[in-house]
Amino acid sequence: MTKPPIRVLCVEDHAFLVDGLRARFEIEADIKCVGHLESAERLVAVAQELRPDIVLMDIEMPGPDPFETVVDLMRILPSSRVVFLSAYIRDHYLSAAVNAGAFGYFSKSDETDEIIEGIRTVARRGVFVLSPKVKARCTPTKRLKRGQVSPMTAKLDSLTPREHEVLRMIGRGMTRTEIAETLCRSVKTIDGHREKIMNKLDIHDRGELVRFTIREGLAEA
Amino acid sequence: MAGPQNPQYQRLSIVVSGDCGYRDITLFRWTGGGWIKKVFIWAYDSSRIPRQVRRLDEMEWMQLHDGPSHPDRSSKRDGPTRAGAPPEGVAAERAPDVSVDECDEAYTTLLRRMIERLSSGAVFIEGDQLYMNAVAEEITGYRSDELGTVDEWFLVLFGNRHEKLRSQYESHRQNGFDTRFTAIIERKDGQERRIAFTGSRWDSHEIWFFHDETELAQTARALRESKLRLQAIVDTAVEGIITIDHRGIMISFNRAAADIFGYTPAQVLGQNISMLMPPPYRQEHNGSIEQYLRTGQSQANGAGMEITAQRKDGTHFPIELAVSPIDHLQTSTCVLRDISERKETEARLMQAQRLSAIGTLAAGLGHDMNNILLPVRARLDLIDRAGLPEAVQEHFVEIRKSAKYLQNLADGLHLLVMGSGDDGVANESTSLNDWWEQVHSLLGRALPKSVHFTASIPPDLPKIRVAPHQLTQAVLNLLVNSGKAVAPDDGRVELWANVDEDNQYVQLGVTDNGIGMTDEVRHRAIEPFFTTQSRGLGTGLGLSLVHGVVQSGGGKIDIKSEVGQGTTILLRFPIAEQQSNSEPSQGTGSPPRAVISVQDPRSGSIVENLLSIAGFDAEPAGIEAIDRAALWIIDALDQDPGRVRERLAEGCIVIVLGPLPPAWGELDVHVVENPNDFVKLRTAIERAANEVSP
Repeated sequence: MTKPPIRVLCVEDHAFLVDGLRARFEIEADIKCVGHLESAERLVAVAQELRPDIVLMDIEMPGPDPFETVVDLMRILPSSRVVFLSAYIRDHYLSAAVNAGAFGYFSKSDETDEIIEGIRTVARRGVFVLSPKVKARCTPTKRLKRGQVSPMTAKLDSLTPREHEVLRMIGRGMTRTEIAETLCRSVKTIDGHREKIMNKLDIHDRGELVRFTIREGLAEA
Repeated sequence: MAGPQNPQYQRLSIVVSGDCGYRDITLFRWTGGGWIKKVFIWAYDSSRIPRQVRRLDEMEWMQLHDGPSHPDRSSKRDGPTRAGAPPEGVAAERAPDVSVDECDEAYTTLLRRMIERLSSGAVFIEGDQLYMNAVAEEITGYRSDELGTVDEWFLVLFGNRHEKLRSQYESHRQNGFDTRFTAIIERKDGQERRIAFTGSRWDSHEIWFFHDETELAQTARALRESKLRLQAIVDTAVEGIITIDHRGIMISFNRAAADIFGYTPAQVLGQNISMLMPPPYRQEHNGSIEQYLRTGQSQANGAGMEITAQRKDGTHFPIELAVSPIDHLQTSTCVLRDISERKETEARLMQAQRLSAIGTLAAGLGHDMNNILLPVRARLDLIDRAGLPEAVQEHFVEIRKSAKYLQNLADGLHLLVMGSGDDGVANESTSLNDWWEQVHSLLGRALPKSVHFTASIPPDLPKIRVAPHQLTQAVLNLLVNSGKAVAPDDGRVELWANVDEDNQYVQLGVTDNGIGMTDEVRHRAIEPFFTTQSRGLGTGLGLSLVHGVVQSGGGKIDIKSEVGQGTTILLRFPIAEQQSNSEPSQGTGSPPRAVISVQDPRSGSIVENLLSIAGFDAEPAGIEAIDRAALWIIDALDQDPGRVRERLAEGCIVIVLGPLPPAWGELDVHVVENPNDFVKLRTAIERAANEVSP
């Protein structure tokens, strides 16, 4: 008896990307794209309706925070397994994905065959999969001794949601006045946030902070 | 006419020093017969030629008794200026009712009156008796009658030094007070004063003149100290301080200036300050000195001005200069600071900001390219699967190639924007082969299309100590430079690599057939800000950045160039340690073994992924496997603490997922309470990897 096909729900704001993937899935007998959402906004409701085995999800999309939505989804529909498919391979995305309960992390630059094989592995075996490119990029670059500072991801994790928000705005090149206006806070408060962020990240000048946001993908997120 | 030969006059000369205004006072005493009409006192300043008679207040004519006097006549026409002769007509008059004794007494009185009027301190001594004038009383603080004798005078004013001073005084006295001497007296109020003495004596008379030099000495000392202080400030100042005269000639050059410019003061003093500037600025400087002399207006006046200076070794560097004129001396003080470091930081910051901006753009571009390339590749798969007619197969292969090229470009963009952040560059290593695979599409774009670009990177080069994104930036800089140096129609640029003979370095070279560099340019090429392009086109930081990248990994940069022949920039990167972090081993070359005893398949597979990233050979649990494992990852709930203790005793590292049950007591295990906490889990595994292969 053949197994039922793996039902995939794509959450991705680029329709042509989903169309391409859907077409590609069609030539795989055991994978079927059952739906497409352009943001994570209605994910929980639609997933409850469609009951997908796999939610193949982008990270940088308009709308609600994808990781938080996945946490909600896992609570309500633990049988659906989320695999992230992002253009970026970033430590803090990877860490947020695992923490949210995701089962995989793939890069959009991965070979399509690898993505398909990953979906299969997650769906059939219930194990966590990283694509080879993601794995290669995770190669530790420095030796951590006992008591040594944790990697940058840990530092990023130590930021409060508000500090995260301020950091993203800094990365987008907004001035402190603009940030203050956007968040309806005083410039002094923003300066305080910035100082705390720099302390937590162990960054000592603004240029380095901006570079950091670019590298960690906070600038355009 | 009466003169010095006239035996009836005795001429007495007293040397007066200090501030009384006269060097000599000459007295004439009538000695002829038993009668005296008048005693005359003239004073003249012997230091002046011709000698001029000066009025000595009212003492020009002193009369013992009332009688007619002719002051004007005597002072104007005659007087002691002519060999001490008394004024005409004086001798002719007589006062018959005065005896010689009376005359002597009057003479003494007269002297006292004269002394009284002096503006310097004076002591008149007759025999052992001593009389001080008002100024002397003021200087010593004693009244004349309190120090009535010479002995008392010395005893009271010099205390226990009186004997020494007395003998000094005696010796000066023997020598006719030919030199002055100074001594410290103690005033009545206890203050010490510094006194300068001279004296004069005749018969049994003696006059000491003295004045208080305390303030003068204090002022002199203060001046000396202030000068020393000022010199100390100038000497220890961080800023270079140079004094120039009105023509720009250097008249002082402090230590900091010597350090900044590399000249010793002796090498520059007496030379024009323009020697400290490079040629184009030198002329400008001469012009501005002229303008300054003409108008008194200087661009560098007061506030700082940034200009380019030149060291002794010929290198150029930026300085901040402030010039303050000292009008009454017709000199100017130039205070200057070497601002190379500041300018470099500013320029680097600007460069970093520019790279950030480019980075943001590149990241956005890469992101969108991936969004497009993935569906393109997906559809290419479909076309391929559908089976293509022979006629279009060839086109299809080319489209695949193009897509692959674009994918490489997108990946390369990523490698360009990754900043170093907190990663120690020295800790990063890069495989040139992998790196080139990723960036060749991007870097090839750095050269104009017309330039013939070749790359020969042999396979299996060892890893080198440099971060990949920095290597990309460095090579990009070199290629851009080469692209500018070669002729548009016949440009050739080659990127090549090899391992050096000693197997210590990987050499990465960029060779072009461009215009080449002169020796001077070649020597200065890696200097920050040095550029052969007109200002505004290049920052002059390109090669200096490349140098920074190479140096941070412990490497070297070498430039071979010949004018008209071309240039090779050779980057020598140290080979990274063979045993890299990502491949921990126990010395046998094989990766260390880790065993996973985790029930939940998702958690277990996350651990497995992290173990393989950290370089472990991971396998699922089995008794045998556990015995040979260097690292054991377990669920807290399923394990027997006794077994864990055994493994720990054998040197195995144990990571426990979930909170440690209280029954386990104290065990030297790594605990990751929440297995979903990716960062903690990853950190624990990476630490274990380091412990296994430190």
